Amino acid sequence: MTHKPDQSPKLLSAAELLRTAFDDMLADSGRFDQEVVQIARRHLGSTPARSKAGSNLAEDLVALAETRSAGGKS
Amino acid sequence: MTWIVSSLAIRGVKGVLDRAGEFKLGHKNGVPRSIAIFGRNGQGKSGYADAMEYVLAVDGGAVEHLGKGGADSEHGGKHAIPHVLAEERGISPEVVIEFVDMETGERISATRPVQTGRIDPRPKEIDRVSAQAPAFNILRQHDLRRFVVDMSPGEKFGEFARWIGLEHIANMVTHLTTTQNTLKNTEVDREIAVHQESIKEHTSGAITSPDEHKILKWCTVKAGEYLEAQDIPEGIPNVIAALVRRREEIIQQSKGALAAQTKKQLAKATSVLTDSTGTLGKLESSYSQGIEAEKARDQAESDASDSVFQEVWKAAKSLLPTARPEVCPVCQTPWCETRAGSVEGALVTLSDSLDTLTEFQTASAVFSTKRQAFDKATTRLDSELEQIGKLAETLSLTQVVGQTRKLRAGCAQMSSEKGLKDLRAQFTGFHRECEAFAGTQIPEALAGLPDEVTPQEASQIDDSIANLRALDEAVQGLGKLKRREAAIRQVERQFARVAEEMRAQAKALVEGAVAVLGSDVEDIYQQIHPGEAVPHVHIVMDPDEKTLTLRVSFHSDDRIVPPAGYLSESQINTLGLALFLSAVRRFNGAFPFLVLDDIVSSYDADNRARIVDLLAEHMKGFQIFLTTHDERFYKHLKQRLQSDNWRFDRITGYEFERGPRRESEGSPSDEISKLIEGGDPQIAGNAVRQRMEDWFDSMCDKYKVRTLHRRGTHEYERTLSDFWEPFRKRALELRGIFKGVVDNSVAYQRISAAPIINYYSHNQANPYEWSAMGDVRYVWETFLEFTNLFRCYSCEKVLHFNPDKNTLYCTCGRAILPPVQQPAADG
Repeated sequence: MTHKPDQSPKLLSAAELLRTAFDDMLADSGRFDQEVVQIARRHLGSTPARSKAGSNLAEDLVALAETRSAGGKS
Repeated sequence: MTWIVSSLAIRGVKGVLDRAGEFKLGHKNGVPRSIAIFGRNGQGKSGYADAMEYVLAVDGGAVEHLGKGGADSEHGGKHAIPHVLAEERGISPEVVIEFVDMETGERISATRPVQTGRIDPRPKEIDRVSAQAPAFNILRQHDLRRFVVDMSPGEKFGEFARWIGLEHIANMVTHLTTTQNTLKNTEVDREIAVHQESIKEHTSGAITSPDEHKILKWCTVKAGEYLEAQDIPEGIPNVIAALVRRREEIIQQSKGALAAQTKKQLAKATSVLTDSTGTLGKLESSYSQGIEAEKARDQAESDASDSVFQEVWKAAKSLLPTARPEVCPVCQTPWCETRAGSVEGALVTLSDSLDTLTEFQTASAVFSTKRQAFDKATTRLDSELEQIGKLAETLSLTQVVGQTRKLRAGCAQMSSEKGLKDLRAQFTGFHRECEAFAGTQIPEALAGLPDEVTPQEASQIDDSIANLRALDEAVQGLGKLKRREAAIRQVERQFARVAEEMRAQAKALVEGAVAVLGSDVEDIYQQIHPGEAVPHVHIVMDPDEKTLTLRVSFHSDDRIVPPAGYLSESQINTLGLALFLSAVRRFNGAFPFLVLDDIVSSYDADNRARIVDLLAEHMKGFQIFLTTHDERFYKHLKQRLQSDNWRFDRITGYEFERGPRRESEGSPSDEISKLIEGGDPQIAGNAVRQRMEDWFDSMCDKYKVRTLHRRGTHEYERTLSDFWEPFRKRALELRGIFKGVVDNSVAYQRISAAPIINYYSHNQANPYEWSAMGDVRYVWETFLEFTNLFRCYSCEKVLHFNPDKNTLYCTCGRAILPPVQQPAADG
């Protein structure tokens, strides 16, 4: 038996926070645009995020906007 | 997983050259083994901490207190890490570390050779374990106040962010901001401006704003240059299609316009021939004048036909008046027989003949001039006929073209050397033919051609179509850009909601961590400084600004101040220690390893004991590598943690050429036995007394015995008498468990009856005076026998005490006391 250090109350880790955020709060399609959420998850949903995640995410969001403005299925 | 350090080998690092650098730690029954090392200052203790900081450091291998400078820097830099004799001794400075996962038994071993340069990657094997400990796990005395006082709010944020893995959260917040800024700055204004400029260019500057109505109106006007109003469709593409469809027709109209223009030019050129002052009139006039001049010349020539001897006549005219010959000097005829009849008559005849000859020459010159004027008129006519021929050719008037050629041939004949009178009939016919050509033939030919058509070139219509296409492209591009802009703004708004939620989650996590940390810090602070007002700790995070500020309430909840200006040095150190321990405890659970390097220097004895309690009670499950130069602190540790899988080492000497001399210490009983065997009763006696005091102290604490002496404070003033009587009473009242055991024991009776307690107490004149080793041995053996009463009868482990039930027990579950001896039967 391993005597683990007492860490109560348990704090969420960054990864747990992100998982919870994307699985629960942001999954509400009534409040959030799910295409936008999925793109955000692709870039920010895991730790560590890539160094250019912010700008790459913006590029993909702009691409989504362009697809939508062209009337195509996004 | 729960990683701990299984073993450590330090060679050629700091003060450790070739000995005392190896440690076997690991764990026992799931409890990690910790180590406390006592050594005086300057005996190389901190070298161990440096070595561990180095082996666990990220790429670059920085050891904080050595700084990042070069060998000549104030802190020594990385060049201070290798032992100065290592190279000379052929020892490669390195730290070898082995980790073990207590749950799976997996082991990871890594060697980090000391590199003094910038390129110093941390072995990947260490990354895996070290990543489990985001909170910095090495604390030194001089670092206690570092987080509290020395770090800037930004540095505190960075440190705290790493502890809770907030770097990922902070990075996420940064990425969110980057994304939002990028979206905000993703404007199509510049592209719109380009398209607007294109619209302006392709409307010849008429349209300067993207007003679709104005653009369409302009197109309608433009199309009107080619199309009738009723034929102009709506929309630029339709206008273009209409123009393309009717292009050939429009171009044909343009050819008609050219013909009309040529017709005008041809009519004008023709009129030049026939006007009253026109070319043909001038030609005829010059011919008439030429004929007259020619006629006059011919007459003068006839008149002068007899004057062929002009030279003779001239000579005779000058000779005859003076010589007066009898006969004519030319024909030798006597004057009377000549037609002149005399010399005087001959002179008159000579004079008349010479006059006639002069008139002939004058007439010849006049004719020559007139002839030239005629030739000039003919040449001009030829030139004009040539122009007429070209224009007629443009209009495809083949008969007119043929006639111009014929008439030009006539012009050529007029220019011959023939006399004008010889050309009379030819000229008359030619002139009539020219008049007929200009007056009848050309007008008749022109009569079938249109007079007025709007001039249009094919290139013009093509340019217009191309221009309209470019305009249409610009307008459509502008429309797309506006739709794109709207879509981007919509996505931007949608993402803003996502970002807001993620920030809220991050903020909640941070606030939760801050709250827990603050609570921990206050608890720890209170444990080290019991009885003092515990400052309420305010940890204020600003993830956006990436700052963390630490404040405390100072004797009032309303008085929130920076710790440095108001708390004592000891209190600031406690705050730093509390933050460190809390961070390690909260965030390094998967690698519960920490190094405490001489952290109690600024504390007094009371606080040191509290820190020992803190480590024993709050850091269970952690593997601690502790060094100290404080012997009392070290002894506290031994007393409290000896049985908790701790190892205690003492540095007994130090040689620069080799390093520390380190000896592992056994249990207190073993030490005292050695001291007794050593033969110095004073040393052994004092050790026995201290051991007895420590034992009674801990037992009083364990059994909740009320003593006059407050545990943990002023231990140096305690005496065995302070403990004995209260402890004795408590031991006998524990529900009678010891009744009949303790009080019947020889050891108890000896301790009670003999002056062991009283004699060797501080109340004696010289309590440290031991007369003989035999006395020491007697007291020691009696004491050991007495302590055995508090061990399990069945397994000999130290008994546990349940304060709630006020009873003793053993985890073995068997009888803790010896069987009750039946009294012997009488007789």
